[in-house]
Amino acid sequence: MLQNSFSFILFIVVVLFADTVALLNLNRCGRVSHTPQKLSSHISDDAYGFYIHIPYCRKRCSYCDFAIVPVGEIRSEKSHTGFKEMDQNYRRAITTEIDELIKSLDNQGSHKKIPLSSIYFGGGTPSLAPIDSIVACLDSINKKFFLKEDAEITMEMDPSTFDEAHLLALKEIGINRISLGVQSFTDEILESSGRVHRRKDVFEAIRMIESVFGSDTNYSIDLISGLPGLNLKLWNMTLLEALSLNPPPNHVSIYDLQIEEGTAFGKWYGLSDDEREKRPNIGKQKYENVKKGLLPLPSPDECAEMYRSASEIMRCNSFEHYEISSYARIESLEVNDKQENENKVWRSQHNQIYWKVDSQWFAVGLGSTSKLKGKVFARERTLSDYITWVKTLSNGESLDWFPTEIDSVDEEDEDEYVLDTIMTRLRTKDGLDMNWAFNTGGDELLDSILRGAKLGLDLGLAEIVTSNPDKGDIDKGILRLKDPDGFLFSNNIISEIFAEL
Amino acid sequence: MNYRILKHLLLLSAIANIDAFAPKPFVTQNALSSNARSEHETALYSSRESAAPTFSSSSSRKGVKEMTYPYDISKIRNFSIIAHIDHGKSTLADRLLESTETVSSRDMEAQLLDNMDIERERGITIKLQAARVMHKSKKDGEIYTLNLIDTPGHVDFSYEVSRSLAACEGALLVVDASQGIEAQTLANVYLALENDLEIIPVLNKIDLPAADPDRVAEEIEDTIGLDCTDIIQASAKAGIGIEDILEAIIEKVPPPQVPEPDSPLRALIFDSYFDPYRGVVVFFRVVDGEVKKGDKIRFLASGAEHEVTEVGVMQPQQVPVTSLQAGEVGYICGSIKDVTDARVGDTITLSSQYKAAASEISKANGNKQIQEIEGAVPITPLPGYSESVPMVYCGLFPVDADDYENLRDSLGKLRLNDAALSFEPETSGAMGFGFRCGFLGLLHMEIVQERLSREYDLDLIVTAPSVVYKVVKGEGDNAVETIVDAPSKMPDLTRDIKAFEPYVKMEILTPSEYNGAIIELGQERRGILKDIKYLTPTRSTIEYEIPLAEVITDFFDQLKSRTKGYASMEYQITDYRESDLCRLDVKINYEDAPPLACVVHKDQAQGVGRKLVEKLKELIPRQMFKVPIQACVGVKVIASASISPMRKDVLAKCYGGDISRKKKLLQKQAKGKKRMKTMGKVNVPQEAFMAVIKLDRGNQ
Repeated sequence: MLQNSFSFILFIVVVLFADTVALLNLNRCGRVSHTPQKLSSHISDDAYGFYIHIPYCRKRCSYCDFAIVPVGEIRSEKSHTGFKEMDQNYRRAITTEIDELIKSLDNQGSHKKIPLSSIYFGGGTPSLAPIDSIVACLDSINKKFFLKEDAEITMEMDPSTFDEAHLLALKEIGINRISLGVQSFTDEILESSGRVHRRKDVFEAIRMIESVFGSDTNYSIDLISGLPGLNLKLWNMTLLEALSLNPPPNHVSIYDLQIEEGTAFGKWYGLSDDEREKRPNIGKQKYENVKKGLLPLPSPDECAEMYRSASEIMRCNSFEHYEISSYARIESLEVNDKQENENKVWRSQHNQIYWKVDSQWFAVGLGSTSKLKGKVFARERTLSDYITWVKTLSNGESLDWFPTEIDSVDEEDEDEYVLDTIMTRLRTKDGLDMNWAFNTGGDELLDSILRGAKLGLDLGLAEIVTSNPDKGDIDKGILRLKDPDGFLFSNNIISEIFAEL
Repeated sequence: MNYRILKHLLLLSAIANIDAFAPKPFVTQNALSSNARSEHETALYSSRESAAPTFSSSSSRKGVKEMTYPYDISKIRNFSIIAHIDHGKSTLADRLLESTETVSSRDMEAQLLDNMDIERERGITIKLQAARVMHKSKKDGEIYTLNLIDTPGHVDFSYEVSRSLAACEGALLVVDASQGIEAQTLANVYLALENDLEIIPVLNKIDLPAADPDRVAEEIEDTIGLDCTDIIQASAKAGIGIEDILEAIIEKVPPPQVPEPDSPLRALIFDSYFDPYRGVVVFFRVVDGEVKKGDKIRFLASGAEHEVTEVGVMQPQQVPVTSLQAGEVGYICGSIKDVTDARVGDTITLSSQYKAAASEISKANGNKQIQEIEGAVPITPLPGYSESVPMVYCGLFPVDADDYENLRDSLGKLRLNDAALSFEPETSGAMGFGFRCGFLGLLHMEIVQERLSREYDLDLIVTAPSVVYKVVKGEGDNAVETIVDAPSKMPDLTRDIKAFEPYVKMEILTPSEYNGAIIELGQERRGILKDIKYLTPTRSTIEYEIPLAEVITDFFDQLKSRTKGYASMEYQITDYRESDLCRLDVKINYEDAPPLACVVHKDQAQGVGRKLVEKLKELIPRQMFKVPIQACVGVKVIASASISPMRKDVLAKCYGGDISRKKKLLQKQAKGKKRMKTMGKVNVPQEAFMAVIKLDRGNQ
């Protein structure tokens, strides 16, 4: 544990002082400014992440507001033809986007290959994509990028969307981590949530994963708390069931259900907690006669308890709660003959890139978001718009897509950078390095953050811990939210800080 | 009737009627739709950018040639129009001006528009406070000078109304023939009668299918005691009866009294406004004597002296003239920088005449200085002057603390045109820097707030309005009176302290079927029922004496909702009366919240306290901890409620694409927090500060 946090400190130090090395051979003119560190130096020499969005889903889940394309049951002959055609179009679009990206990188004079620490096929349901489409993507990426040692190549998969042959093919092309969308082990709940798979499909999927990838397979599962039909007891059983899976998952993502506008749940249950609180039995009463009947939605109170319970149960079972919704298995490894152990913590390499200070990642595909040189770019969220947009890339019309000019950094970008960093870092167990805040915005930023965090600190929801004992007095410490209560009020505390900036 | 729409309309018309200070120009009055009106006025009021008082000599008015008109006091008729909002005052005024001989309707419009453009380019507003028209009587063929003096429409400005009326000899009482007389109109008629004005009743909108002239005429006769046998039936919109009205004015309204020969100048100020280029423009009616350009004038009440740079009349655009004499109505400018120098109701005289009169008195008293001679009045001021006294106070705090300077400047600019507005800095731990502002009444307060937000783009937190209490400590000669203009300043009442609160005389006009509902409301609000009269079998007037504090809560809203919008009310502050009052404090999370305190009658403390904490519980969002809210009198907690803590406030996923979306959500949340004030570690939203006047006080 101690060792782990020490290595993290090292990591922070590396990030902070890494701007002497430029990976992308960028024109980085030295900007003179009053703040000690400006955005122009927000480029780390860390390896990048690469996200590929595969939007296909058999149907839209009741809680989902993502950029997806429902494709139906593709095993039937008729729909299969249509799906194949769409997949061809989409594959062409993303490989074109990758090619254009590479062209832009080359044009900027970066002739070296770029290291990746992670490639992530997210969705949607990437396991629905034909192998050759995945291969096509990886081939395109290979032209300009190379994988670092221990790089993770993850694919999101849904139970009942693949067979052993498919898994084997994925393994052969290099997929080494699977994120399995389990969500629940209760058929009734799966059904009401609009999931296609059932409990037995989960076990079958894991059996297949084991048979192909072996018993030390690196896989993660997703669970959702607060789903209609859940109560605390059932939720605890869900957690225990997840923990007893064999082979055990290295990673568990647990989401507290958010009812979003435009989803089936939004329509059925209303959008706000307040609205629902006035009608606590909404699921039971109002919709009893609708179709199959709706399951009751747990109260915010119960959902909060589920969150606390998950945090406790997972941590008691050797999982590190390293981010609001993420748990990594802590594996004890024997490192030498003297029976000394070292812990391996299976955090998601890819997701950590998102929460890192000065992180950068590439992204391609429908609705995906990339962040390069501090510029966030979100792609079109409907298929036809996306395909049309990709066609414009070759004539250089999409200016924001790939930032070329580091000089275009303005105050607004600087503000966004600060907000992004505070928001993402406070979601993590490792917290927000106040030395970063001081280096970025001096005492002013430091004080604003502390003012905003004051209530959380007073209420014991947040704490400031030493970042490095060697630093002594000059150490500004690390601000972090406590687990679970601080995490539970993270929005409140973060927005309180935002209000002070 | 849709009550909210009604309220909106009322407010709109109120804004359009910032009469005391800015009666609308005729062009504005011509705008038919309320939308057009408000847009138009927005343009008019955009004057603030250039509001700095620079009286440049390059003023375009410099070259304007002064006119000389024939003067015959027996051919002058000064009158005003008394009418309820929507009863057609504006349209009628337009028609009267159009149908005169001197200005054809086409010319008038053209002239006005030209004028408007110039004014607009220069960023100032023109206002019609009065209009002078020449009319050739069909009866005797003589040409008469008719001066229409506009009056503000609301009782908050009753003092201004009374001064306007005092400048006239007659008034048209315009009543909608389909609706009948309203409380507001009635109050102004009484004011007119007090000023001995000749009242000419006119039934307007006679062409409407719903018009019921006989019933309404009867109602006027019963209510005011006017003879309505020959009542004029008119429709300003259709142009019916306009000639009759003009003839009636000439025939019935007496000409101004002929002054004693050689009497010194005395002129009554009935309005003024601040023009960024010419300084204060003062509107007045000459009672005695004569004033011309170059005269040095003195304002008797303020003691200020200025040289007249321009004398003129309103046609309705301002036209300089050589001089104005007894009975005439016009304006003067004199590079006056402060509107308080020339307050409404003050008397203008000539400095030279004042000095001459003063030195005579001085001589008679052994050459003593005039100031040292007790009871010495060189020139008797015209009666009726009084300083405006704010009756309602509220705190104004900028949502964004950085706007404090801006708020101060904006209030200063409004003050240039509004002598009745008062403000002084107020600071509190919870609210930060702001101002305690005094107003004539609720409408006045709303107008100022509206203008601050609309014209000056200020985002404000307004604390609940409160009346001005008087507290007397001690007995007899040792008694010390203190003015309490903020509830939190009310002392804890001990035996040697007496508290006084302002009372109003209120008159409510209503369809008789709602009498019961109104009496119930009056009882809830500590009203003393004085009289119920049936004007007609279906309409009554109800008279109350009631504490002003009860009126400035949602009394009007309640009255409207309990009578389906049919009742109208009017009130006038009468006196201060001793009351058993106490200060109701609010504690949030065990911390005192002074901006939420209120003063209530002891008998109401329990009920108001209970409702207030419940209301606050509703308005204050959940926090991360349990928040107790208490209402206390002294140290005693009389009501309490608690806001249960929120259970969670967390967003699950936050990966690449989610970051921007979640950030936006949190920024929105942060923005909401910025708009709140923190008390007892609790974020209190703006609405909470007005909670105390929005309580349903029924069934206590």
